[in-house]
Amino acid sequence: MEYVDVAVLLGALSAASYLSLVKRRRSHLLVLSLFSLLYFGFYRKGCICPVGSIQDVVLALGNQGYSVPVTVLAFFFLPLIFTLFFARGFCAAVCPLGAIQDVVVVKPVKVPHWLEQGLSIIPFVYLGLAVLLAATGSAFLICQFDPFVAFFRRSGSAGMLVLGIAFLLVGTFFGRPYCRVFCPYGAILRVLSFFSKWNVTLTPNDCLRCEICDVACPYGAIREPAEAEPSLSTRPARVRLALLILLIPLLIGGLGWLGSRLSVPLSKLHKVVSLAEQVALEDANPATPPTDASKAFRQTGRPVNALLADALRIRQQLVTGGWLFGGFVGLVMGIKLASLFVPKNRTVWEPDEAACLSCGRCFTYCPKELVRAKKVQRKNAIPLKPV
Amino acid sequence: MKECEKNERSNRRQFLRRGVISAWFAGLCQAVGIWPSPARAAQPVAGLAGKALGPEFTYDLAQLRKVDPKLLQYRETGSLPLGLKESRGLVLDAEDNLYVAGDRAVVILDRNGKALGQVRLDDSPRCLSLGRDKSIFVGFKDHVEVYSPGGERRARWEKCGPKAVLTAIAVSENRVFVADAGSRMVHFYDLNGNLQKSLGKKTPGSQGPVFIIPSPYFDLAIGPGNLLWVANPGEHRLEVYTMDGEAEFSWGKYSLAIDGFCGCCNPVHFALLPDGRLVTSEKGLPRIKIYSARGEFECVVAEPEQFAKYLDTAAANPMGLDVAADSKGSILVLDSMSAAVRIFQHKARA
Amino acid sequence: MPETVPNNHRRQFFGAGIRGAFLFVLGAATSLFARYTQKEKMVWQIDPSKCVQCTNCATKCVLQPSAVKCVQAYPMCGYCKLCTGYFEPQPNRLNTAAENQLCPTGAIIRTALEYPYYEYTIEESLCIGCAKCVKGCTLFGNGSFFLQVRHDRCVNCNDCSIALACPGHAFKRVPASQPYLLKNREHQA
Repeated sequence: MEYVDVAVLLGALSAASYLSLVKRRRSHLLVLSLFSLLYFGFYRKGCICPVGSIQDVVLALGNQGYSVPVTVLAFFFLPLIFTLFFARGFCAAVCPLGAIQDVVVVKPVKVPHWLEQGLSIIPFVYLGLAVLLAATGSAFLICQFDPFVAFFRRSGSAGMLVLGIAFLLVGTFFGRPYCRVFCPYGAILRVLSFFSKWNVTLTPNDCLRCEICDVACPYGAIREPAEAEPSLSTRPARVRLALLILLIPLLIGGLGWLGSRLSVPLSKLHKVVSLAEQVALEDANPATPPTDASKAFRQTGRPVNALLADALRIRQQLVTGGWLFGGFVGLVMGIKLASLFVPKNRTVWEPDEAACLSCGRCFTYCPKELVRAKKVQRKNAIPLKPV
Repeated sequence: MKECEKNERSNRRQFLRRGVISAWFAGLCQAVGIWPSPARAAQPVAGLAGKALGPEFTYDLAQLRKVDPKLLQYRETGSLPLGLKESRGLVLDAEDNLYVAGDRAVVILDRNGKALGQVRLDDSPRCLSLGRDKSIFVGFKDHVEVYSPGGERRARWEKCGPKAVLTAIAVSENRVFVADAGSRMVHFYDLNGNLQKSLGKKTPGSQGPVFIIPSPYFDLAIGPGNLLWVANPGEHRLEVYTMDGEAEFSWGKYSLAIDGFCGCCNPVHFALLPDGRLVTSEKGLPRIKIYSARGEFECVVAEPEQFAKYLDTAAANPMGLDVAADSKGSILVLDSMSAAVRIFQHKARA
Repeated sequence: MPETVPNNHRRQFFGAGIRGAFLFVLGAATSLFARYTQKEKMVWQIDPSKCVQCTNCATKCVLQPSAVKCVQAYPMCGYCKLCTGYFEPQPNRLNTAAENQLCPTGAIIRTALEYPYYEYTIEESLCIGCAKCVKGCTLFGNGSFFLQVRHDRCVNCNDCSIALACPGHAFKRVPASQPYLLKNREHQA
C-alpha cells in the first residue's frame, strides 16, 4: 500500500511538473490538485505527508532507536528533488494541504510587499523549531498543528477543527495562508525553487507590461521589472548592503543566544522532562497532587535520579539545539534583509522563483500567453478537409 | 472599452464558475460522506473530543482501600529487610526463626532479622515448609527438593506433572502435602516423596472436591487437630480436610466488604495462629485479616493502603503477600516489593 | 541590451552551481539516511506492561470510537466464575444481567464452559477502549484483558494523539510485520 502511495506521488509530481512547465494549463492543474486532495487527503487521510515527514527524518537522525521507513524517506526527498528542477509543482497540485486551500480562494486581496516579505520568515522559524523539537524527541509540532488533517480524517479535536476552519476562512481572501505563512516544508521548497533549473514563466520576450498577471496571482508572487528595485549603482546603496551583510553574524550570534535561552520552556514539551519536573515538584512539596504520569512513574520503581538525569540531558540537548535554531533564524533573517537590497535583473513582470506556487492562474490571464496557447492549439488541431 | 467590459464579464464568469466548481466539489464530498457535515462539525468530532468519560467508566476502589479504624486492631511495629529481589514464601520454625524462599535461595533469619544462614538453590523457589527435624522442603515450579537444616540437598523428588505450578507445601509427621495450582490438585506424598494420592483429581463418577485456581495462588497449611486447611480461591473459600483427604467443613464468601474475600480468587495466602485462628491475605485489595477457625471475621491486621506498592500496578498482577504468625501471635507479612518482612502486632499487646 | 547577456550567463552558471550543490547535499542526505532506514512501515502499539488504564485511549484518539480496543489473552485467562473484568465490583448475582456487568458498553460476552469455567470474549464493535475491564482484571485477576491498537482501525497518525497524552509512556512504534505487543504467560506462572 505504501509503495502505491510512493508511485502515486511520483506520478503526481511528474504530471504537475509537466502541466505547469510544458502544457501550461490551469484547468489541468486544478484537476490534478483535486485528485491529490481526494487521494492523499481524503483517501489516505493525510498521513504521512511530506510536510510531516521532515520530523520523522530528523528524529531518525537524532535518535538511534528510530529508523525511517523507506516510503517516508521517499515522501520527504522526492518533492525536494523535483523542486530543484521543476519548481513548486508539488505545492500547486500534489500537496493535499495546498489543494484544499487552493479551492477556497474566492476574493484574494493584495498584501503589501513588505508584509509578504516579513511573513515569509515565519516558515523558516517554524521549520527550525519543528526540527529542533523532533530531533530531541520532544514533540511533532507540525503534526500537532496540522490544520487540515481533521478534515481529511473527518474527525479530530475541536481545537484542530477550529484551526482548520479558520485557515480556510482566512484563505478565502488571503490565498493559501498555511503555505505562505507557516508551511515548514514550503520553506525548504522556497529555497530549492529559487535555484530551480526551470521555473514557471510567462511569455518573457513578449511582455506587454499589462500587469494583469500581478492582478491575477492570488499569492502575491508576481514581481515587477527591475527598474523599481533598488540598485547598487550608488555608493550609499553599496555601503548599506555591506553593512547588512556584516550584520548577519551578529544576528546569528544574538538569536542563537536567545534560542539557547528557550531550552527551559521548550523542554517542557518533552514528556520525560515534564514528568521529571512533576516528580521533582512532588518530592519538594508533598502537598502537590500527583498526576497520572507521576503515579505511573512511581509504580515502575525507577529511581528518581535516573529520570532527572534523563531530563537534564534532554535539556542540555535543547541548549545546543537552541543555539543552532537561533543561529539558523538569524541567518535566514540576515539573508532576507540583504536580499531586499540586492538588485534583481528583471526586465519584465514575472513570477518570483521562490514564492511562485506554480498554480498556473496567470496563464489564463496573460494576453500573450493566451495568444501563444491559441497558436499551439491551432497548430495541433486536426485540419478539417472536405471529403 | 469593449475589451474592458469583456474582461470584467469574463472575470465574473470565472468567479461564478469557481463558485459552481466549489459547490459541486462540496456536494460530491458530502455525497460520498467525506466532508464533515455541519451537524458533525457542531457536535465535534474528536474521538470523544478529549472530553472525560461519564462516571460509569470509572473504576474506583478508593473507598474500599480504607478500613474502619475500629476494625484495624493491629499496628506495624517493625520490618526486617531482606536482600532478595523477589521473595515468594515465608515460614517460621518453632523458635520463631524466619525462612524466606526467594531469588535462588532460602534465607534464614532470627526474629530480630539477624542472618543465620542461607541455602543456595539451582532454581527459583516458589514455596517452602519445614519438617519436624527442621529439614527444609522447597517447592519449585514442578518439583520438590528436600534440604537438611545445614543446607545440603537430601532429595530431589520427581516432577509432579507437565502442568505443575507448585504454590504451597505443608509437612505433617508422616506426610507432605503439596498444592499444585497448575493442575489444581493437592498431592499427598510420604516423607520420601512417594505420591500416595491427589485431591481434586477429576475421575469419572467421583464426587471429590474441585479446586478453582484461576491464578497461581493455592495455599494450604496444617492446623490443630491434624486438619489440613486448603484455600479454594475461585470459590472464595477455606476448606478443611482430614489427613486422608476427607472433607470436614468449609467457610468463606465473596464480598468486597471487609468480612468477605474480594476479587476473582482469594485468599491467596493464609496461616494459622498458635491459638487456631486464621490470618488471611488477599490480592487486588491487599488486606490481611483474622478469622476464627469457624470463619467468623474478627479484625483487620493491615489495610490495603499500607501496601501502596501493590495498588494500581501497571505491570500485571503483583505478587500476593505471604503471611505467617509467630509463637506470640504477631503477624509477619512477606512484602516482596519492599524486599522486607513486615511485622504487625496487636495494638493491645504492642 | 547586449551587456545583460554575459550577466545572464553568469547567473545561469551560478544557479547551476548552486543547484549542483543542493543536489549533492540531497544525495548525500539520502545515502546518510539510508543507514537509518528500514523497509518496513512502523505502526503504533501499546506496551501492555506500561499501561496504567487511564481511559485516555477512549478519549484521546482522533477516531470515534477509538482505534484502541481491549483484547483477551486466552492462555492467561483464569476463566473465572467471578471475573473481575466482567462483573461490577459488588455484583448482585453472577449472571449476565446488565446491572452486574462492569463494561458500560456491554462489550464483553460471557459463555459458560464446563463447570466451573466461563469464557470471556470481547465484542470489538462495542468496545471503546476505556480500560475499565482491564483495570478490574489486572487488579484482581491475571491481567488477561489488555489494550491494543487495532490496526484495522488505526489511521496511524504520524503523531499519535493518544501517545501524546499517555501517562505511562506506553505507546511506541513497532514494525508493521509484528504490529501487536501481546502479553505472555511468563510473569504469571
